[in-house]
Parts: sequence; C-alpha cells; structure tokens
Amino acid sequence: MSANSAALTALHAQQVSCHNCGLLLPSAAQQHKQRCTRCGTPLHSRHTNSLNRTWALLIAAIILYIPANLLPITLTTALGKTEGDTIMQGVIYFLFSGDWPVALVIFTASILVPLLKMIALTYLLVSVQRHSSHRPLERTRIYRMVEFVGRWSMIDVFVVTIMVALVQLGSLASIQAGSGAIFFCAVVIITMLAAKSFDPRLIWDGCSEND
Amino acid sequence: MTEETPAPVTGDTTPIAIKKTARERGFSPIWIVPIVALLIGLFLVYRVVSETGPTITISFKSASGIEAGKTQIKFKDVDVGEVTHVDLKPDLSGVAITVNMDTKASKYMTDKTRFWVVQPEISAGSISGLGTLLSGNYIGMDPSTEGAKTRIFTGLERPPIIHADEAGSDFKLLTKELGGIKSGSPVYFRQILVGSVVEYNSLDDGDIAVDIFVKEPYDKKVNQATRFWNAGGFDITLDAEGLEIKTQSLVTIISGGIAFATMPGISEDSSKPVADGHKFHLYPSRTASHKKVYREKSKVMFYFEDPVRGLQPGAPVLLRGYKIGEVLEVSLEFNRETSSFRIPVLAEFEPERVKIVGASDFEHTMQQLVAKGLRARLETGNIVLGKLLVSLDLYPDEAPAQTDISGPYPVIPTIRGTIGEIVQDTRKMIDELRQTASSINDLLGSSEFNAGMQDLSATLSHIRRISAQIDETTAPQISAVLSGVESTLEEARVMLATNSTTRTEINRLLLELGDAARSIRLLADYLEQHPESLIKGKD
Repeated sequence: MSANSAALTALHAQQVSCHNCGLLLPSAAQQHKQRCTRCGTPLHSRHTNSLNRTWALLIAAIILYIPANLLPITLTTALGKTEGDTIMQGVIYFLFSGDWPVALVIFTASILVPLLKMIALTYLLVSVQRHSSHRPLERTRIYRMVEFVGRWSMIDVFVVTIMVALVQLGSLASIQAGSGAIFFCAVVIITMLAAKSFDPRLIWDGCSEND
Repeated sequence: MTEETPAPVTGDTTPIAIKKTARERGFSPIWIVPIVALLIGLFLVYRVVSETGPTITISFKSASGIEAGKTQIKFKDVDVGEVTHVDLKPDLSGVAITVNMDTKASKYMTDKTRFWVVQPEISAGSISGLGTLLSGNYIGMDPSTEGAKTRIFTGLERPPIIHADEAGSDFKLLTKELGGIKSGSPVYFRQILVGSVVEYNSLDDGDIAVDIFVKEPYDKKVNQATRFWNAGGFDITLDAEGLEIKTQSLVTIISGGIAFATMPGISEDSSKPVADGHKFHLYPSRTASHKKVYREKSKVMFYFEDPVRGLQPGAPVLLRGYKIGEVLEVSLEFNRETSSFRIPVLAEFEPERVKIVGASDFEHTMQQLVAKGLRARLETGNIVLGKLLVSLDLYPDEAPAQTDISGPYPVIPTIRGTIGEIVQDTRKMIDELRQTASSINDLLGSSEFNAGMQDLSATLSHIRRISAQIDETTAPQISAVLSGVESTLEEARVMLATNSTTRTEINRLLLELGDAARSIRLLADYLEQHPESLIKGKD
C-alpha cells in the first residue's frame, strides 16, 4: 500500500510505550500486569476493550444528541411568560436579529462540532474495525482534532450556567436551564470520554497487518 | 465486537502468549451507557407521544396576539394545548389556528366546547385579562363532554360570560329596547350581583331577546311573579306624584344592567317555579315593572273648557283620589261653525283597579254614574310643577247630563276645575276692590270736593255778613239769637276746616282704605302669579 503501511508498530516490535511518560519498554509476557519502570503507570500495548467502549459511548452520545437538540436548553421567563428555546431556535433568533457572527459561533460550537465529532469517531471506529490502512496519518490527525475540540463544546453549557446565575429577577426576567442542557452536557461529556477511550494506535494496526 | 487479538509475531524474540480475557470476549459493562441513553430517549419519546393529544383547528376572525408555538390554550389557567400554526383561511375570511391539545383534553373535543381569545379588556363594569398584558393573549376553553366529537371549531369573538361549570339557570327576557344592555351586563337581585347578560339578539317580530344567566342559589328566586327591569342609568320619574330617582349601582349607571324582584301578592301565580329558559318581559324601568299589569282597559273621552296646560299623557285619572287610569292623549278641537275651542282628552280606565261588586258592562256603568252626577274636572296634582290631573267625582247637584256614547269612546261630562274657579273668583274680587279703591281716591282728590268745601266756607261768611246786617238793622234780640247761631256755625266751620280733627280723621280713614285696597291688589296679583302660595305660604 502506501509508504506508511509498511510502518512497524511497537506491538510488532514487541515493545510497549507508557502513555503517561512515553517510555518505550519491551513487552513483558504478563502484559496486563506490566508497569512502567519509570513512572509506575500500568502498561498496555493497546487500550483494553477500546473499540467496544468507544462504540458504546458513541452510540449513547448519538442517542442523547437528539433530545439535546429537540428539548429547550433555556427557559426564559420574561414578564410572567415562560418560553423554552432550543439551541437551533437560539441560532435562528440571533441570525434573524442580525447577529449572524453570534449565530455562527453558537451553531458551530453547539451543533456542528458535536455532530462532526460523532461522525469523525464513527469513521475512525469503522475504519479501524475494517483494518483499513487508508491514510492513517490523516486519521490520526482527525483523532487529535476530535480530542482537542471536545472540551470547547462545553462553552454552551457554561453560557447557560452563567446566564442562569446572572438573570434571576423573579418573574420580571429569569432564565432557567432547560432539560435540553442536561442532555447537551451529557453528549459533550460522553463524546469526550468516547474520544478518550479510543486508542489511536489502533489506526496503525491496520497498516502493519496488511503488509 | 472483540478486539483483534494481536497475533504472536514470529521473530527473533520469544513469542509472547497473550491471554484473551473473558472481558474482551463477553459483554462489556460500558454498554450500559448507551442502553441507559436509549432508555432515556425512549422515555422522552413516550412522554411526548403520550402528552400529544388531538390536533384541532379553530377558526377566528383575526389572530390578534396569537403566535404559533407560544400561545397556549388554557382552561382555568392550566395549559391544555399550544398553538402550532396560524394560517389564513383560503378565502381570507379569517384565520385557522392549528392547536396541539394535550391528551387530557382530548375527551372535551366536542362541538359544545367553546374557544375564545383572552385579552385584556377594560369596561365600565370590570377589568379582565390583565395578566395577558404581560404574558400575551391566550385562548380560553370552556370544555364540554357533551355533543359530537369534532376536530374543527369556530372560536368565539367575545369571551362567553358563563362557563359550563357554573351552576345556575338561563332565562330569556323580551324587550322592545335594549337600553344600554350588552353582553356581560350585570344582573342584580336586591342589589346583589347574581348573574350577567349572556347575549342578546333581535327577533323577527321586532322584539329583542336578552339571554341572561342567574347563578345559584339566586335562580330559585325567579318565579312566575318575577319582574325584570332595565336597571341601567338613572330611573328618574317626574310626574304628578313627585320626583323620584332610582339607580341600582354605579356600574349600571355607566354600563347598564338588569335587576329583578319578585312581587308577592301581585298575582296568584307567584312562588310558582319556572323552568330553565323561561321567557320574561323586560320592563324599561323599575317603576314600570312594579306597576300592576291590567289587561282590561277602557277608553273614555273628556271635553274640557279649562286650560289644560300641565296635563300630559300619563297624568293620573283619579276617582275620589284613587287612581283608576291615566291620560292617553290631549288635543285641541276647533269648531269652525261656532268658532269655539274645546279640548278633548282621551283617557284610559283600568276597571280592574276597582273592586267591582255586581255585574254590568262598562258603558252601562258609565251611563248610570253620569246620571248620578259623575263629572270630571281638572285639578292641580303638583302645585309646584303645575301638573294637572283629571279628577272624577259625583256631583249630585249638577245639572243632569247624559253620557255621549255615539262616538268611539263614551264621553264623560266635565265641570270647571277648582283652580279655574279660584283664579277666576279671585280675579273678579280683586277687580272689584280695585274699582272701589280708585273711586274713593278719585273722590278725595277731585276738585269738586275742594270746591264744595270752599263754597261752604263762602256761604257761611255770606250768612255772617247777612246776619251782621240784620244785627245792625233788625232787633238786637235777634242779634243775640244770631250771634248764637253764628257761634254754632263757627263751630261747624272749625269742625269742617282743612286742619280740623274731624276732617283729618276722615282723610286718614280714606287714605287707609286706599292702602288696604292696594294691598289686596298686590295679594291678588301675587296669588295670580303664585297660586301655590295659598298652600305653601309666601317664600
């Protein structure tokens, strides 16, 4: 295949790296009991049950993504009238009130990014399961991006928390977190965990096997 | 599912046996996470599905304040649905509002259920829907389980006054004039607010039917003898009986209202309960409603000679002070042949007012009474306002007369009224007094009187001169006699002189007589202008 496909993985080289300090050690026979000689972290040549866990968390995130977007994320009470707004309604509101940059930020951070994250994880999982050797470097980059961007999706949740704390003027005006916020929060956390449980080293296994 | 077991790689190093753990092969507990997520999702779906009731369509004339996704349907301030779409009707005659009702409201989706828009409303009687100022309009619902199931409704343009859950009775009032009554006007019983006007509509026969609702337990107060009257505004009565102002409450003055009362003893059918929806007559005023209703009416005619200023239609006709009817019409009749006026007055008797013993028809009775001296005359009913009334009484001394029954109505003969008599007599008396006084004045101030006095004085001096001549020429005896006569004459002269006491007294007497005459004239004039002072005294 490509030049990369001939790459030798640590597993093949009977080596195992410590994911805490990065020390490369020869694999011991009793692999799951092996610890890093330098920092004492238990060593695994691959994350235990990585694909299984990632799949489970990803599916959970996909399921929760639906109520997160359909249920109101904020309950705005203004002058005695309570209104629930979903994320998309907020985006549309800002878009039509002229604040399209704000709308863009909310749309990207709250709808697009979680969605893309889940698509990316699905793609990575499927490609790993099919032992694909296709562009492992790009896939690794995708993974890094997914892991990096994950925490920023919490912006929405933070905004809601701050708003809820700030706008508490009784029946005149108050904001409460809607049930959608809980689901959204869950989606963000679970996708972060899913990304964490995915072992990017598996991407390269496909290359070494196909040689 | 299971992770690919790394195959032992043959190489220069010792192959490593890698144990395949049970964990990797079997069910991993991490799968609980998506299962829980799935359960939550399913629960949410179930909740949404179970709470989504029927979708209904309500049509309104306009969608004032109704917003899709925001406007709620409320019953007793509980949300039972939400507007999802607001669409114009294809023919632009109104709006069709699509509403997602809750499941719990699905059994009320019958054609008896009513919907209306609740919006702030300020009227003289009440302020309602203020909450909607802040929360926006909502659609009110008056649910009913009766009737056929339907999904298409026509919204009411005005909130219904009565809700299906309120206990009470409906009644229908018939009237000729609405008189400020409108939907929602209050209904009072002894000035307690007991109900309201639901609606009114014009009937084909010209009447207006006013539907009212009376709450429990006051609806039990309505029976056959109940009279409803329009309590709107002031009820000012100004007639021969005086001035009367009645009102129900401040609200009714502004916005109109209906009051009712049950008059015991007025008719035999009192305390007889009435069915829901019973029809009543709506009287224009309290006074009208309290009047006894006499179905039998007989018309009679009077021809008066006296001026009838102050006699108005509705003026009472009294028989010995008891009201037996009222004046219907006053007109003026001119006879070209005789060039004379007379005033025909049409009146209506209500013979039922009189407890009649013995049987006879009305005309025959009239004939008999007139033969016995029944006469009509005008009397002052209210001296301040100058209102007149027709008074009937028996005057057996009057010249016998006949009831003219040739015309459409029997004619009852009339005599001069008391007021006319008094005024005329007084005027006559005053005129006579005036003439007497002026003739006395004339006499006192006349030149003949003064000339007479002077002549008398001159005559006396002549006599004196003659007597002196006689004294000189005739016997001195006569002189003594004459001088006696002279002194007598002198005394008489003194007595009659301009400054004598007697003369002064006569003058004073005459002057005082003149003053008295003037006072009487003034009194007469005053009486003529203010006849009421005969009773009330001079103010």
